[in-house]
Parts: sequence; structure tokens; C-alpha cells
Amino acid sequence: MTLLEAFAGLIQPLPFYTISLGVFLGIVVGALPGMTGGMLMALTLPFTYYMTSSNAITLLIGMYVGGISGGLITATLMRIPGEPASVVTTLDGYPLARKGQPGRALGLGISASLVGGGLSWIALVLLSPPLAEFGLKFGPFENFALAILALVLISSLSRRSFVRGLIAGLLGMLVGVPGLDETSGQMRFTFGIDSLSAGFNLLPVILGVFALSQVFADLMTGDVKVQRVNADRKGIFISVADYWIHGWNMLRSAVIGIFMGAMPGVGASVASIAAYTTARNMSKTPEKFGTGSEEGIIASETANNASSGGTLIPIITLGLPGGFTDAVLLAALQIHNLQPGPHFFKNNTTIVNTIMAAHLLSHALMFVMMVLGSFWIVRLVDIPKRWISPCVLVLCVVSAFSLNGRMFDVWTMLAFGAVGLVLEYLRVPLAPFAIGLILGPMAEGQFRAAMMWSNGSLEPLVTRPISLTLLLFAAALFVWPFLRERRAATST
Amino acid sequence: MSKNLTERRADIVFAIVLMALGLGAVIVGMKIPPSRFDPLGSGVVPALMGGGLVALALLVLASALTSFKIGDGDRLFTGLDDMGEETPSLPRAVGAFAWTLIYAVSLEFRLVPYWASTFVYMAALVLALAPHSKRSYGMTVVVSGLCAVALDLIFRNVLSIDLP
Repeated sequence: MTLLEAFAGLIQPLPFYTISLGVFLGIVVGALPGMTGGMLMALTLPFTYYMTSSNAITLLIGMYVGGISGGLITATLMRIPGEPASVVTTLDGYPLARKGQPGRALGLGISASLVGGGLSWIALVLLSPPLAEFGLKFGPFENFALAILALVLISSLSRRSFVRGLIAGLLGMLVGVPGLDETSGQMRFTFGIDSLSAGFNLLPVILGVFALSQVFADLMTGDVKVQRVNADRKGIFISVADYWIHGWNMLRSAVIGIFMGAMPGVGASVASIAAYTTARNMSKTPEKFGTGSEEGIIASETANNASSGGTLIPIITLGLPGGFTDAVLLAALQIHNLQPGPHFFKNNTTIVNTIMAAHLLSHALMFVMMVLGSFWIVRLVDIPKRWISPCVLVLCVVSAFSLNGRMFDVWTMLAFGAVGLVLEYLRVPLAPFAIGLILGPMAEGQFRAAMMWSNGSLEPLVTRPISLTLLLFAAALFVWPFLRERRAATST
Repeated sequence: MSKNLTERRADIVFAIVLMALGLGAVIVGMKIPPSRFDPLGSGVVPALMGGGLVALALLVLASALTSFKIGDGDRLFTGLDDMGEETPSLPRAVGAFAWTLIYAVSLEFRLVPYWASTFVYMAALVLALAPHSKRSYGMTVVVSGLCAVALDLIFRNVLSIDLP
């Protein structure tokens, strides 16, 4: 299937309704504080069992794009970033809206989101084939080194402590250990519990650690009292001249977003900060930033949407997730017996092209829905947490149960919900946990295959150029936080 | 008790739990014998992970005891905490978690039909979180009932899942 055929497939009634529903739900959830697109995707996973792989992925991509974009609405009109990726948008979006231009503020953000998404789609289409081709050169040593690098990278770039990031990654990997070992056929770490013979299912663990713990954490805070800007749609359509004026800013921010999105552990939030800071540093009027600067809104929203395409590149070409939401996407593919990586890219052109087409179409739908419905969607924030939280909890339980029709998965989810809450309390970042959970079995399988191939010798890890480069990079990232702390300590 | 002291105590307990977990993984992993086709054995990698956890736990412990920081000051965002009035309530979260456990027990032992236990669970949780009034009681009963019945119908009839 070609990319054009994938687009044609998506505009058929069922796929089109599916992707539209995904984008709409993503925008709504993205706008709601405390709910994230990733959470919505995790809750939706069980329903995708009953869909074709293409429709399931299409729905999730729609939610992914909608989730990133929806945060803009509440960030601009209420000064509440619905998604972490929209935090920077509040700095200029809200002040501009307060100055009597809410339509203009939203219009700039929505248009920038579309441009960022479009440019990142071009990068996705152009960069994925050569990267997948390069990935085909990887053997077990390289794949193992890549998994280690991804884990170290996401730990070192996590918002919190590097050591705690590594701990989260290792804990995630350990969760993948129990059950039947496919290489040796031995049962391990099951402690006589029959239900553990197939290991922990990904979905209850993900639902517990990310969705459930988030809901309980939310319950610790009451409903947020906010002051909303009055709705005024005037200016929501920006002119061609605006695109021309902000063109360079959009392009630069998109490149930053794509690059940041492609790096494991960085993602949309950091991309928007980096683009915003760069825009301020290169602006002729940096003093306007934070007071309603149009450049600030453009930079932030272009970058966070551009990161969506960047994130998909390592997922479909190397099977590397960059964060929690990516881990859910990868889990969805695995549920449908699809294992992303270089071979997947080459042999599953139907799914790959559907993902690419869905990414662009989602951005187009997001643009239409946000332009037409932003001022309606913002009213949903009035729904109090006391309604949302119980609904999410009930959905979590029924989703976990429906996976295999057994209560063991519900108990697993509840246990990992408690684990997630405790880890949050201890300032342990959760994204590396997801990466460890997904990459752990892959890293172990590759490591053992490599050891069998080399008769137990670790030497090829450092004699093969690609694995050596990846490991050196991982080592540098490992040492960097310690050097930085040391430098900071000596300078004070 | 200062926040710093509370955090340090929590870190010490965390490090001890991690060490126990890591050591457990090492011991159980090393007990697994290698197989004929896999000379490394299926226990080696978990044992290595366990060893890694122990090493990292020692770092956390050292950090908690000596105030030696490793990347703890990396927060990218501060100053956005004035978005609204937040009233932290740990009892509310713990209570909701305990109530969810009771709900799961009722599902496990199939004490009542799914829709009934879901209705009771939702209604009680909403009422516990909401300011009480005649209107809120009515709303809660209607919305919880609709949600419970809708979920039962969707999962049982549309998705053909035998709910507890």
C-alpha cells in the first residue's frame, strides 16, 4: 500500500469517523487538566482489540495528536495548561487573551499547531526510510546497546533526578521478568502464582502506574478555581501575512520540535520550552515575551505539535518509545501482534503508511475542530473532578478486566496504581518506568542472543562500531549528571 | 517536621526497600540454572538488574544521609503553581483507593451484579467528593446509574465480555 492509498483508505467512512473521534476525544481530554492524551489512549487500548490494526492505530494517532493540541485551549483561555506540553503557551496565550484578543491568541496557536504538525509529517516521511535502512544493519549487540542508550537517555533527561530515572527504568525492566522465559522455556520469578506464568500484562501495569495513580494524585487536590476569558471568536483565522511574518519562527520551532521529539525522554514539553527560549533569544522584542507575545505562542505550539512527528520516527523505524504516550502506542501495536522496528517498517507498509497518513490527517482535523469548537470545548472544564475521577476509575477497572476476562489483571492494576502513587511521592519519574517496561524484554532477548552468538564474549559490544558508539554515548550521558553536580558544587 | 527531613526519611525507607528488592532479584536469579541451549541462563539478566538496583539504592541512601545531590535540582519548571487554589487532601486519595479495593473485592467474589456494584461504587465516591445537597443526591443517582448500566450493556452485549 502506498502513502496515497493510505490517505484514500482513511477517508472511507469508518476510518474517517474513527480518526475524527480520536482527534475529538484527544482535544477534549487534552483540554481537561489532570487528564492526558496518554491516559486516554491507555484507557482505550482494550476497545482496540475489537478493531482492525489499521483502525486501532488510526484512533490512537488521532488521540495522540488531539491530546497534544487540546491543551492550548485551556492554556490560552484559562491559564491552565491541560497538557504539560502547553505550559509555555500559558505565558503568552493567556495575557494576549486577557488583552481582549482571545480569538487571535487561539488562532495563532491553532495555526502554529497545524504548521508544526505538517512540517513534522514531512520529516516523518522523509527521514523514516533511511533510518529504518540504517536500523537493518543492527544485530543483537547493536539492539542491546540501543536499548541501554534509550534507557540512560530518558533517565538523564527526565525532569527529576537522574538516579531516580534509572531506578524507574530498572523497576520497569524487572516487571517484565516474571513468567515463561521464551529463550530457555523456563518459568521464572512466578513464585508459584499460576496467573503469572504469562507474565504481567502490559496494559494493567500501564493503566495502574499512569492512569490510576494520576487519578488518585488528582484527588489529593481539589477542583482548581479559575478565571476564564470571555469568548470572542474574532481573529481566530489568521491571515497569509501572519504566516509570512511568523514563517521563520514556525520553521525554526518545528525543527526544534522534530529533533526533540525524536530523542527518547524529551518529548513535547521540553520541545516547547526549547523553542520558546530560542524564539525569545532571537526576537527583536524579547521584552514582550510573557506579556502576550505572538512569537511566544507560535514557538511553543509549533514545537509541541512538531514533536509528534519526530516521536513517531524512532517508534516505527527502531521500535524505540520516547515516553509514556509512545509506550502506549507501542503497546497497542504489540497487542495487534506488530513489533515495530526496521523489519516492521520494511514489511508492514500498510500499517506504516496508515500511521503516516493518520498523523497528517489528524492535524488537519484538529485544525478544523479547534477553530470551530474551542470556545465550546473550554466549557467542559466546568465538569468537576468528582464526576471525572470516578468515571475514570470505573473505566480503568473494566478495561483491565476485559483484557483477559480475569480479576488478576484488575488486582495487578490496583497494585501498580499504588506503586505509581508511591513513586510519584518519592519524586521518581514515571516515563523511564514505561520505557523499561517496554524495552526490558527486548534488551534482555537481544543481550542473550548476542551472548549465544559470541559464545559468551562481551567483546563485540566494544569492537563493533555502531554498538561502541551507542555505548560511548550512553556512558557520556551517564557520567554527565555527576560532572554537572560536581561543577555546580565547586562553583558555589 | 520539615519537608526536607520528611523527604530524607522517605528516601532512606525507599533505599532500603529497593535494596531488598534488588537483593531478592539477585538471589532468585542466581538460583535459576542455565539450560542446554542457553548457557547464560534465564536468571542472569534479572540478577544483573537486581545488582543495578542495589547500587542505585546505595546512591539514594548516601544522598539521603549526607545531603549529596545527584541531579535533583533539574526541575525545568517552577513558578506556575499559582494557577488556582489547591487543597491537598491525602485522606481523600487514600479513601478513594480503599473504596476501589472494596469494589474490586465485590467484583472478585461476584457478590452483586456488575451494574449494581458499579452503581454503588460510583455514587458513593461522587457523594464523598461532592458538597451535599438534594440536587447533588439526585444527580449522583441518575448519572451513576446511567454509567453503570451503559458500561454493563456495552461490555456484555456489544463487546461480548462476561463481566463479573
